Amino acid sequence: MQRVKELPVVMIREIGYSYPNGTEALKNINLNFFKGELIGIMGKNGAGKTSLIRTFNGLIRPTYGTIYIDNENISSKSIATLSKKVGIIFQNPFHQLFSNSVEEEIKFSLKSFNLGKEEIQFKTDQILHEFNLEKYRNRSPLNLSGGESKKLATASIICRDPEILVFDEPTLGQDAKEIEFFINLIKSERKKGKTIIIITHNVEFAYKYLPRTILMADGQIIVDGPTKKVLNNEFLIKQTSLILPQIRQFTLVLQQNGFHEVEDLLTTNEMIDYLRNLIKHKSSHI
Amino acid sequence: MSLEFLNAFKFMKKKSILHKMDPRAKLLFSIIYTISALLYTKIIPLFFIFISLIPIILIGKLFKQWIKSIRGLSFLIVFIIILNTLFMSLSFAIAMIFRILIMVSAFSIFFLTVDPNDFALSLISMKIPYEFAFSFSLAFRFVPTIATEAQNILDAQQSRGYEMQKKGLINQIKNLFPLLIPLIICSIKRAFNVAEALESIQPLDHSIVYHSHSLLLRI
Ligand SMILES: Nc1ncnc2c1ncn2[C@@H]1O[C@H](COP(=O)(O)OP(=O)(O)O)[C@@H](O)[C@H]1O
Ligand SMILES: [Mg+2]
Repeated sequence: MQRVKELPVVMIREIGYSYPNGTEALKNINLNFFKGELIGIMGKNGAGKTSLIRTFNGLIRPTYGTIYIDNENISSKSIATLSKKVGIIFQNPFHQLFSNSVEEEIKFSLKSFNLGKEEIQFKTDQILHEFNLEKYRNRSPLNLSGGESKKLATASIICRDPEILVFDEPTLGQDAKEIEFFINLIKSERKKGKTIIIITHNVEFAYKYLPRTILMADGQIIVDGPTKKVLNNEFLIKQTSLILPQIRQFTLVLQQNGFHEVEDLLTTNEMIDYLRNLIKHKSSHI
Repeated sequence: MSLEFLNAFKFMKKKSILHKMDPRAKLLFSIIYTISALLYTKIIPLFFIFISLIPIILIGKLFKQWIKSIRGLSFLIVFIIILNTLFMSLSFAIAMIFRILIMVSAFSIFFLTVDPNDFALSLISMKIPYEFAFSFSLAFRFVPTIATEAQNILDAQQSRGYEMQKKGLINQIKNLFPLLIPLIICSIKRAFNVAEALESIQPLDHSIVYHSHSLLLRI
């Protein structure tokens, strides 16, 4: 990370948090997120991932330490103010859907911006179009399928256009097509310069799409670095009950069977090139 | 704003005489306090009943959580004062507040000091039919779950600009919908899930769950 001059969008300095019942959910957390970064947070259940993102918009306030967003200390800012900058999409869409129709659900999210009626309508139409939800416009949000309700919950945050987007386990229970939609969504949000933070248990997803990964255990950060390095580290993976990416598992099996030169293959493309060379080499021998 | 006051009904392991007592005794205690609160409509007797609860709360080391639960009731208390003063009298309004405080405190003491698992045990040892004991303790078991869910719903709504504080009574009531509707929907969903899970293990086996644990040993 050679971004010495540029200040991070989010700076977390030595924070910790204990719930009122005494559970110490976060300990000595230090982090920097830069503008436009795409970051994964991984770790066992109960590691403190959700607690960490709850601190970003003030839902919980650190017991000690400070968080700066856009270089401003957030401790005295209200949740309402912070939620305009940091949009958090939680795991369960049914924790927020309550309106009579899909359209009103979006409008509820836009209420706090003091926009005119026409502008609200315009933004609503735009977001429904972007999320392919136009056809459900007048339907009750409670009659949507699991994937569509998740889409609607996501749309109801993205319509607020926050500069930092945080997802709590977005790929959980999604089918391949829904995951593809999600991948396209983060790509297009990233083009707009958004900083995106994603909590996930999905190793293949993280390996393929997230450049940087933070591993958490017991309320602490145990490693923070390039995903390809972090997720290929057997020792770290064991500690956090994850599994190695398939490409790494394949490499290890090849190594055990005498293919020692496969050591550094990290991506599918590198593997294909290697195999292609091997085949060429062999056939030239015959 | 948080729904921390719901913690006032969450069991927490602590060491006190009150925690060690038989759950049945505590249930009886809460019921007696509730009935006696309903028997009186004057300030003086209700006040003394209320005061008599305080030493028990202190013995149980429950003061902090109890204060939180009372604070959480402040909206309801204002509501009761306004309605009762308008339609009855101020003294009646104050008496009614003591009545609510007694009932909430008595049950808060019960919920705070009884482990959900012990509660099922004690009902069965009272020869209450297994099905009733089971559903009752199941409902009891879900109190903390629903409290957590309520907090998660509040978090999700606040993350899209929802604010709890609103001016005016009508607005305040309207403002509860974004919280109550998801809470009800999620509770119904969970009820269906639990029912499905239970149906799949029918018939209920009366012998396996609780038979070797004697409550009396713990006193
Ligand atoms: N509202 C709460 N009250 C008390 N403890 C909590 C609460 N929410 C989470 N915890 C505890 O904090 C720890 C971290 O939880 P969480 O941040 O949800 O982990 P993760 O999202 O990584 O699964 C866990 O031990 C959990 O039991
Ligand atoms: Mg979580």
